[in-house]
Amino acid sequence: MKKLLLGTTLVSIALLGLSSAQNAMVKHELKVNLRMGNAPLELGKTYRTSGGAEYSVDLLKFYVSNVQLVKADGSSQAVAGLSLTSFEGLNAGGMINHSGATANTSMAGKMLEGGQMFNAKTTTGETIFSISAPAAEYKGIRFEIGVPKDLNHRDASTIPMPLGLESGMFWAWNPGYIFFRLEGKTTVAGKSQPWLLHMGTDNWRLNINQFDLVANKIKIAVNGKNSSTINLDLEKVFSKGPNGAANWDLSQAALRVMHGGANIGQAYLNLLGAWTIAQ
Amino acid sequence: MKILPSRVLFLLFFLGCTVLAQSYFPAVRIPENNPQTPDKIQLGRKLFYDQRLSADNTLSCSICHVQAFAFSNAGNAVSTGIRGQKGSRNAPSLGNVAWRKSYFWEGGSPSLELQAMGPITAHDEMGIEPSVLVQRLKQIPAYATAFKKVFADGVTMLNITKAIASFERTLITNRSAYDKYRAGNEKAMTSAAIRGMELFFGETGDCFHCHNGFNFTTETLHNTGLSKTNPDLGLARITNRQEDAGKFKVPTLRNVALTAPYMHNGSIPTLEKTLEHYNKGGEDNPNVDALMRPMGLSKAEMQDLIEFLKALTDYEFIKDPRFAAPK
Repeated sequence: MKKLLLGTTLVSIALLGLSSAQNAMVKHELKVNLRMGNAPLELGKTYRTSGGAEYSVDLLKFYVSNVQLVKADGSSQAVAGLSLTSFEGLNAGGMINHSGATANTSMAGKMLEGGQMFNAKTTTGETIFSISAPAAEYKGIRFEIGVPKDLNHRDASTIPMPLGLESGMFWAWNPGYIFFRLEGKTTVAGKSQPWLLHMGTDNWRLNINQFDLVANKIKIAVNGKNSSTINLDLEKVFSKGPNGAANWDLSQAALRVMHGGANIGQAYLNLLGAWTIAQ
Repeated sequence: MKILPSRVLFLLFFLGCTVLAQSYFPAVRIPENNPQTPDKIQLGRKLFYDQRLSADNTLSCSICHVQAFAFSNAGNAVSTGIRGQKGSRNAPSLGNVAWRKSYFWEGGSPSLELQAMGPITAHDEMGIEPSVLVQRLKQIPAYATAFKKVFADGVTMLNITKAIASFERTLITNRSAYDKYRAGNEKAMTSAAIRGMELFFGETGDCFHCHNGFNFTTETLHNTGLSKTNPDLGLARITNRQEDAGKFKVPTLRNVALTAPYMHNGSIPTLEKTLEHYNKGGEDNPNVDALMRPMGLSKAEMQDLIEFLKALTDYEFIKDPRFAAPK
């Protein structure tokens, strides 16, 4: 009887140990490659839309939240946290010589619990979210470009970074934050003009779903040793114009500001197709 | 000793305003996390008039909120931002802004502190990044010292907006002919203005349903049938509800004779034209407010109404040196 009890206890301890190892929380970096079609994006470089308009991308900032790792059975492993990543080139917005990391480091101060901030130095392989999750091989990842609703409407004057006023993402006239901020310049009649895409409000939280439970083409190995990378192809932002237009006509002033109406609806659809897991 | 006189003057000013207005003005609402102090108000005043708060050093709050026009936009329909960019809204008067319950024409901002972020950072207004502005002000010794004196954490974006909001809360206008008439001076208003007042507060003129209370606004939002469609979504920009399209906050009417042009987009140039719009009942719009209907006011009645609206002008407010640009 004593041997049976001892054996049972040892098996239980072994199982507990195994369970503990399986559930160990490990770190995993979610990174991004900013692309312009087949090539890495260069901030400030002149590109052309499919309609032939010249444009540059000078600034990109976005929030990532509601990260979920997709298990083999299709269920999700939620990952806590909210991140803000900034890519800021020279003379962003045509007026400001951003000092990027210096400015953001000094303004970070007190952070929101679970808050993360990243100041990208390049457009390739930059971390946009630090995952802490049970070690496992997952079949994909879901996340949102945006701020969760319960955080999006708190008093911005009291909430710390990455949601503080210094984030440059607070939308004063609108309740909440800009979720995805993309800015650059275009040339109209030989003159440089700014263009901007400011996507925000609860209706425009961008849901990114990258998982494959059938062909198993996507693997997110969370083991504390590697990272996962997602491509964001910014060429797709102007892939189709609003109201059924084949091109995004940046020569029109009304189409150079995207933060409402048909403009933001089409930009949202264009952006949905811009994310792919890098394999 | 150098500080004492200005503090005494400040307290006397505030006390004076309160005494004058105590019969029907409620107390100024001061947020617990941003108490008023003389130094903070003076810092906010300096910031309000400082063009270094814009990306290219060309604009300050005071460019679109001009004291001589009761801190409205000097006759301009919409604001002009950096690089000559035109906005789509009329800059409202800042008189008695301390009592407003929400800010911007669709009421999307809950506090003066957060409202101040809007024009400073909007790409088509002052267009500056918060981090850049903070760094810029930190490098100006006078600001670094002034902020440190007022705020333990020195120059931050929130402290910039707190200081500006503190100054704006002092922009109290309560010395119009109407205020004096209400205080017992029966000669303060003309006979025409008194007739206009009776029309204004009666069902004939019907203005009081929306322009009510000490600040002549119910703080509610309405579609006043300005156009057949709603090219500016107004409240619907926030709610995404079709029925909210074209709804905007009721503005104060204090100093309204100085704040032309009118409506959220500055599309009506004069008080006369504005009254004609309301007398007509506005344009046929699917969301138009039920109160908008043909009123049948005579020209004489509309003229009396205008005389009353002119009696809401506070000429002391627009010349008060405490609100002017610091020297």
